[in-house]
Amino acid sequence: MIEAAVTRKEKRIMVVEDDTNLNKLISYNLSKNGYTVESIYDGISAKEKLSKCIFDVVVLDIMLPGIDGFRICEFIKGNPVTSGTFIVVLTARAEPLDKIYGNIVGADYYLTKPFSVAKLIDIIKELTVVRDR
Amino acid sequence: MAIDLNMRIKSFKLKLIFSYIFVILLSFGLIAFFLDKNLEENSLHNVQNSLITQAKLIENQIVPEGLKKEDVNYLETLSKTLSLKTKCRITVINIQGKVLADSEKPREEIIHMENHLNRPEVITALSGNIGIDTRYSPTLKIDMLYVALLLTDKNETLGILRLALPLESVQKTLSTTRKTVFLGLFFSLVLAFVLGSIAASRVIKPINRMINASRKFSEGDFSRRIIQPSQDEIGELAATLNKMAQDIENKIKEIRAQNQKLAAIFNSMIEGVIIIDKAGRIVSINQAVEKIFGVVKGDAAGKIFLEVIRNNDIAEVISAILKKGEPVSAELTLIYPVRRIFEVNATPIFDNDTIGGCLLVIHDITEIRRLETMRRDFVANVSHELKTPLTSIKGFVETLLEGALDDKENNRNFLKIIQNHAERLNSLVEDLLSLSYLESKETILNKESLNLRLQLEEVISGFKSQLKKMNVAIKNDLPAGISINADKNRIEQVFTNLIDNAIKFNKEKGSIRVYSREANGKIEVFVEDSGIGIPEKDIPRVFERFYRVDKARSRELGGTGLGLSIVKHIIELHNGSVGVESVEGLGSKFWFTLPSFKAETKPPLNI
Repeated sequence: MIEAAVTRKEKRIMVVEDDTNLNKLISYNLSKNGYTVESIYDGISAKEKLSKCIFDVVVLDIMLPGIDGFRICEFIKGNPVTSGTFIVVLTARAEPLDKIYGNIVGADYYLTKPFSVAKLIDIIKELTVVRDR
Repeated sequence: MAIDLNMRIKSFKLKLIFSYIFVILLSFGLIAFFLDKNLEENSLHNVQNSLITQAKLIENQIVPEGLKKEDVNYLETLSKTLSLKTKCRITVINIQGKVLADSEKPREEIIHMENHLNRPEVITALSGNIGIDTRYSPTLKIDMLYVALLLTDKNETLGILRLALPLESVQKTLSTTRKTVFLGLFFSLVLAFVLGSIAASRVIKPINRMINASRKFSEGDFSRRIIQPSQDEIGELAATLNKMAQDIENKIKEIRAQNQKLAAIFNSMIEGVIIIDKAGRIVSINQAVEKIFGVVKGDAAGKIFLEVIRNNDIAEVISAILKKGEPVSAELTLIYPVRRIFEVNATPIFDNDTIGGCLLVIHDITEIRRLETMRRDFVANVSHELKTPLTSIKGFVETLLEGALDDKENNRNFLKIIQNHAERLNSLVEDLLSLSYLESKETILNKESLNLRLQLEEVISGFKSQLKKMNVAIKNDLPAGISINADKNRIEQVFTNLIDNAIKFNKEKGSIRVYSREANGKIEVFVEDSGIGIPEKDIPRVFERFYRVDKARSRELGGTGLGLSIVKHIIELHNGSVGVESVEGLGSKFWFTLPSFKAETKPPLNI
């Protein structure tokens, strides 16, 4: 599936964020930067989508209705098909315990709300470039 | 005990009597001894003197010629005649020691008498002095006093005259005296015994009374007092004992009062207190412990801790403290029968530098921990709720500045989102301020007479455009005459929040009906909608802060998640209560109660 990712020209990114406006904000900016974006608003749909398609990066909110972000993280990293997908976690909480837990389940990046959109784009660029090499 | 005391009293009486008798015996004995000795010496001396005088008189009557010739007849006649007169035994001995005549012996026997030269009085007489001796006479078989003197004529020694007298009379006098003394002694002893008994009884009687009183004291009865018999030492002893009893009685009263105070404190303490002895047995527990662990005080005392309270954590604390003697502090969680968190503070009790036991103070901190968790959750929630709109505002501003400003398709939409979020932030801050104001204890309600129907009309008019937009019909069925005593602004807030929810969570062409019911001095107000309703599992939590049934929808509609929480606080401040009934898909019925105006001014007597 790495092959598939490499051969694809456009990078596929999934945005899992229950706040409609925030989701719209991220999706808009990622689209502008040339990424193919899938907007998802709850954990259950995210899991369903992840079982069907391969994404390069998942932008993931932690506090989600249905299944929370941590479980999605585990689901992605625990499945050999999806374990290559990078995860950027968005959280309103900045407690160290959450960070540790995020590392255990395998998040690649952390962004604390309110975050800078520019920084998110930079991170995603960096991750996808690494993938290309 | 009583027998022992009696014996001691008896022995004391006997001691007193015996000491009297001893003194009398000693003094009488000494008197008798010296009297006897003196008397004996005196009478012997008298007899001696009279015997010497008689000997000298007889000496002159003896014719020297008769002696020289050793005329036995003459000497015998003379000695016998004089002996009758003087009542003495008279013996005449020549210088060779041969007895010439003896008043008590016939002539035939004299010849067989032994030589008298070795007799002590004869030896003294031969040297020219008067010989005196007292001894037992084998001849007469009695004690005799002998006096001898030398018979001379013109410097010529002729013989020895010896006079002897039985000591019978002296002894008779002596024994008479002794008898008198012994008789005196006997009567004295009897008298001593009788007087001693009386005196001892007089001393013992008050002592007895004191013993009885002391026995009462030792049994714990300090109400008795000893009658003071006299002003002497015994009287003083009785007074001292009385004072002691009084003091002890006062002290006991004081201690008892103190103990009662301590017991009251012990039992009224909210913290559980357990006292353990050095063997790990329960000495005492208080009512709080009974309540916490569901044990009974009477069953617990004297038993090993684990037998009564099956909590290994506390048992470990106890054994650690009894071993090391250092205070221990621990937080324990009790799972059964209900999950509760306790802070246990254990302190050793020292008894002369050794660990005599320990004291456990158990503090139920479940509520404190619950509040702490609530506060932490609240802070986390607040920060989350504030950060979400802030993130959007920040992100869209950034996006617009980065070029989206020229994106004709989206730029207005983005600005609208920013506006919405700014408004949401504002309402969130306002709701948080209301909540913190309502939660502070100093909240002052500006109560006034308030017509509920008119108040609701006012609120409804503010929602006109929203109602129109949602196409929702509202019906104010509150009676015209209903007045309550309440804070106008707060009640307005209650109606606003409830009507706002009823519109937001309603369906197209839905309806809202507000009506009331009066019962038991209370007014119940119902806000019934035909909306989407609340899932059953969410019903108990809808009044919690930041609790949303549908997070996304709530946010989209501009809700803060605090509206119902504020309603609940306001109603509770007015001594009312709130609640909700709902069927998912059919609608919800929120209600609140308030004390009716009449009830508040004139409370019914039967309540």
